[in-house]
Parts: sequence; C-alpha cells; structure tokens
Amino acid sequence: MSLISQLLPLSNVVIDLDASSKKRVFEQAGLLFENNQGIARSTVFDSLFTRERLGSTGLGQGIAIPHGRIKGLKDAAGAFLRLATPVQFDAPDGRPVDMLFVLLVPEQANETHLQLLSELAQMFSDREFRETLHGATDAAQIHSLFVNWGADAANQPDPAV
Amino acid sequence: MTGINALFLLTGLLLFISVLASTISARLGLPLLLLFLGVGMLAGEDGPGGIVFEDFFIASLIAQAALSVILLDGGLRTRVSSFRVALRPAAVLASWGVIGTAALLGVFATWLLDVDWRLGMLLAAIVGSTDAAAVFALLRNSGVRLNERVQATLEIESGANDPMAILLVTAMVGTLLQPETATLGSFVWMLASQLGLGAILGLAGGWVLSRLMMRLALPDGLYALLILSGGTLVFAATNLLNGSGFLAVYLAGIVVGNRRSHATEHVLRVMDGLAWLAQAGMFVVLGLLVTPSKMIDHAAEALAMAVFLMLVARPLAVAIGLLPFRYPRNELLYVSWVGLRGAVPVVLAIVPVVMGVPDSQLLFNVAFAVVLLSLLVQGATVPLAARWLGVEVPPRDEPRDKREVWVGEAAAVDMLEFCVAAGAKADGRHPDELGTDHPGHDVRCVALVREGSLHRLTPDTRLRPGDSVWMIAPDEISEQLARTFAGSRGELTANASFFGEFVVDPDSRASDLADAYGLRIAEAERELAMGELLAVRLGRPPVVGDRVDIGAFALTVREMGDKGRITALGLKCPPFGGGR
Repeated sequence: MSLISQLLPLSNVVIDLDASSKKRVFEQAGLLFENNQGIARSTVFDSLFTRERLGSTGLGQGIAIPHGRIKGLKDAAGAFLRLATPVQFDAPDGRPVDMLFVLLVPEQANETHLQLLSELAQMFSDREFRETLHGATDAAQIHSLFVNWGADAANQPDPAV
Repeated sequence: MTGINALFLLTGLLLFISVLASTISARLGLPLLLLFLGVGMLAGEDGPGGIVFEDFFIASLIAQAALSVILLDGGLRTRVSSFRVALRPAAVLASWGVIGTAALLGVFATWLLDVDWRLGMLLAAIVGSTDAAAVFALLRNSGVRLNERVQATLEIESGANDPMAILLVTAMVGTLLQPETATLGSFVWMLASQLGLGAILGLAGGWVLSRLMMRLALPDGLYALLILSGGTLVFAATNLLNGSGFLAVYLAGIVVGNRRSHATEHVLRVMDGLAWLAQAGMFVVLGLLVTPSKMIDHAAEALAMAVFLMLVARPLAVAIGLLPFRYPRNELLYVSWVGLRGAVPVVLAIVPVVMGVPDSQLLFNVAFAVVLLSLLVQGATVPLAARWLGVEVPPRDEPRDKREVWVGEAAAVDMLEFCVAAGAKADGRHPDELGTDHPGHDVRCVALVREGSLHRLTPDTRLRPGDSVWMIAPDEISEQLARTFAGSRGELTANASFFGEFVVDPDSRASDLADAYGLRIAEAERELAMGELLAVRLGRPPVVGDRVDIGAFALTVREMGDKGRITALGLKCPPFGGGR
C-alpha cells in the first residue's frame, strides 16, 4: 500500500467536479476538507494560494498537485479531484489541468511529508496510471487505484521521474 | 606534368579517404582528428603508403595556415554572450594556466629525460597549450550538451592560449641558442607585444571586415572569401609586427561573427567547409611528417609525460587558476581532463627542429606522442567524462533547421523548421494557432510538407504527426516552439529527473519558498527574488544546470534569458523511498 493511500479517504475522491477556474477549484477543495476533516476552508484556500505564488504546481499533462502547510493539522491529508472541464493552471507545458491531487501537511512538515510530493509526481508520471484515472467511472475505482499503486510500482520506480 | 598530376592525385586521394573515413569515426567513438592523423601516418614512410615526407618547413606552413582558418572559424562561432560566464576564468587559464602547466611539466621532463633544464622546459612549453582545433571539434560534435560555463571556458581558453605557449617556446629556444641576449626584460616586452598587438590588430581588423561585409554588395559566395582573405591578412600582418597572429585572427572572427548581417549565414556555411578542409589537411600532413617507428623509441618517456600532464600538471594549474571563480569540483575536474593537445604542439615542436636546437628530434617525437595520447585518451572520453562528472545538461528542444532571411540590409526574420512528433502539443492544431501561445511575438507558418509533398494551408488545416513545417518566428522562442512540436515521452515536466518536478518563478520571493515549506533561511535572504537568491548562493554567474540545495530541496536553473537573467527555475522535492 502506498503512503498516499493512507491519507486519502474515499470521501475525499471527487469526480466530475464543476469548477470554472483555479480559484474555484481551490474553493471547492477548501469546502471538501472543511466538511470531511474539519479544516477551515479559508485556511486551506490561503495555504494553497501561498504556495502558488512561488510558481504553478501544475506538472504538465493536465496534472497538478497543489499543496500547503496547515497550522494545527496533525496528519497529512489528501484529496483527489477530477474536473468536468479542464481549467487554466499556468502549467509549464501550457496545458489546462483536469486532475488534481491536493495535499495538506502539518505546519511542522518533516521530510517524510515533503517526500509525499515526489511520490505523487512519480505516480502521475506513469502514463498508464493517468489514463486509468481518466477513464475511471466512479470514485471507488479511483480510490482503489491509489491504494493498489504501490503494489507493483514501488519495486520498479519509473526512471522518467 | 606527370609530377604535378601525381601530386594532385595523391592530395585528392588522401582527402577523399579522410572524408570517407569520417563516417566511421562516430561509430568507433574516436575523435575525427585522430582519424585524419591515422590516414597521414598510414600513407607515410612506415605505413603501406610509403611516402617519405620530411619537409618540416612545408609542414609548418600548411599547419599554420590551417590553424589560422580554424581559429577564424572558431571565432565566428563564439557567441559574445558566452563571455559573461567564462571570459575571466578562460583568460586566467590562457595565461597562468599555460605557465603553470609548463613549469610543472618542465621540472618533471628535466628529471625524466635527464636533460638540460632548458630543454625540459622547452618540451613542456611545446605541449603547454590546449588546442583550438581539437577542442572546438570535439566539444561541438560530442553529442552531449555541456554546461555552458564548462564549454565556454574550454573554448575561449583554447582560442586564446596559443600566444603564451608560442612565447614560452620562443623564450626557451632563445635561452638555448643565444643565452647572452635572452633577458627577462626582453621576454616581458615580447609578451606585451604579442598580446597587445594581437588584441589590437585582431579587434580592429575584425571591425573593418564586419563593416565591409555589411556595406559591400558581393555575390554570395564571395563574402566568405572576403572574410577568409581578410583574416589571413590580419594573421600575417600581426605576425610580421611581432604580435600574436593566432590571437588576432581568433578575435577578428569573434568580432565579425557577432555583428550579424545579411552575409553572415553565407560566410558561416562556407567557412564550415573550409575549417574541415583545414583540419583534414593539417592532420594528414602532420601524420605524414611523423615517423611512427622513431616515436616508439621514446614511447615510455612520452607515456610518462602524458600521464603527468593529464593527471598532475594540468589539474594543479587549473585548480589554482580557477580558485577565485568558485567552480564546482566536478567542473574543475572536467576542465582539467579536457585539456586537449592537438596541432599547436606539433607545429611548435617544428620550430626547434628548423632552428637547429640540439636534440630537437627527440622533442618532436615526444611532443607528437603526447598529442597522440591526449587525443586518444582524453579526446575519446569527452562525452563519457561529461556524463560521469555530471557536467552534462539535458538536451535543448531545438528546431530541426534554422535560416535567417534578410529583408533588405537592416532587418532579418528567422525561419525555423519543425517536425510534429506523435503526442506533441501541436498535433491537431492549426499551425498559425500556435502563435497564440506566444503573445507579443509574430509566429506564422509559411509551408507545410505532408507525406513528402507541399500541402496547401487552409483555415481547416490541422497538424498531424509526421508533418514538417517552416515557421517564421523569432529565435528567442525557438526552444519553446520546439517543445510544442516534440513528443511528450510520457514525462510530466520535461527532464523532471534533472530539474525537479516543479517549475518556480525566478521573480517570486525567497520568503514565499520559506513560508510554503517551513524552511529556515537567513533574514537577509528572505527579501531576495528566488533568482537572486540562487545567484547569491552560487557566487558565480549562473548557467543552466547550476544547482543549490535549500533544506531538503534542490533548486536548479532551468532556463536562462539574454543578459544572464534566470528565466525559469526547477524545484526538486526530497525523493521518497530513502535517497536518490
């Protein structure tokens, strides 16, 4: 089981989310974390936007991993959002983004928390994984993809990352 | 008449074989120059060719003419922008580096060969400078993209360090033949006149030539001859006035090559061929001149000299010379390793032979063997060492071909050729639509070739994989455009393993990074832009590939704009799964 699956409850997987811009996506993410994990939505929103000031968290190929530190958070939390229509994200390849993994880590983020980012990037650099995520019909299927990812891929890290 | 035609036949045959042989050099991983030398040696007295060629004067004539052409061509292709990172370090290597290397090697040679110290020093001075022909050819055709600092340092050094070696050789020959007139003052004066006149006449000559090239209306083919003959004039005149002709012709080339005009492309194309001819001709002749069987008599000494030069003398001289410039250790090692010797030492080794210095045949044979070993060992490992030492940067996306089309005398447009790869971003789009990604730049498609024939452009045209297009677009965005035509290779961010997963805006504040990840950085650094932070921590002009660790993160320079400005940074997160 991958590290990622431990911080992604099924309720945090949303498909066909309607959002017209990056800002709206972050608002929706805030709402989701507020409802499910009890983190104030404005805190989530501000934290994600603080990180975007440094440069887009878009990776390319329609993928983004917005992330931020949250004061008072005990364990890292994640959410996976698949959008109904892609939004502009200033990604390095210029493509609009339609799949996002939002990662929130405690304020005293240690190295393990930050390694989650490179694990995510490695997951998404697997083209087959991306395409399966794209084609999945419901949240449960996507959730199980994240849970099972580590099973075969952990032993043979993708050299392309 | 038979004599003349036999000579033509021989010249033609040798060149012809050399050119054909060049196709196998890439496959063997051998430097092309070595192959040319090999052809000459095979044609010579110890090889099947059996030609006895012992005329040191003619060999020296051909080699010097060839070197001036190679340096002119090298100068034409040297971008002044590369001076930003490497001019001062290269200048130190071209002066101190030669002296330091020669001094260390001279002591070693005196002890090894058990000769007069002046003879040992003379031998060391002969092989003291790196070779422009070898460095330009091997670095530019090695198939790896080197870190700009390393490449520019090596290239400028090799173009500018011959005067110092020539001076040292002249000085040592002087002390051997006429000890009474050789004083320290006369050497200093000679150095000043070599460098000073070389620089002044080279820059002035280059200026005049570039003006002429812009003003004169000549048939296209004549522009290159204008520059070639002008370069030869500068070379010869500077030499006659006791300046360094090599330095002058290199500088003249730089001046001409960096003042672009409508004729520049014609000149570059023709000069490319001439530089190849010069290299092939020179190395074939030098191969003919040497007698391999005599070289073998001194093989052990030559080997010891070469090993000492490569592993002790040059690395020490480089490490000391580059100390103030804060080069990373791997770059120092690479600059040390690629101290390629080539034609210059052989030409310099001819000087004492012609001047009648005792034991000069020994010098010639040892110098030649050192050059051979350097080309064989160092030359063949130029790409491999780059990989091992990590001075390689990921290849740039580039147009397949590039033309500069001049409209009148004053303005030029760039035409770039691209090929649509499978999975490219351009796939399925109208070629003119690609310009909308680059607001503020004029981007237009002028021709589309599909399945081998010209395809008419209509508003409904969509690009397909395999299409070739010629676009009018400014050269500044050629890399970004090339990226839209390149396949995605399944990676998220291009070369993420080298640059890191995220792209960071160099204008964002360092405090943004610190706050986003809870990193501790010095109070004074918080207010800096990320690009400035990187430049400050590096303590040297940044180049693509320069890396700084901040906490567990690595920041890498992804792209550089003009005037040494960083335009994109890469951010690499700590790798998961316990180390890289």
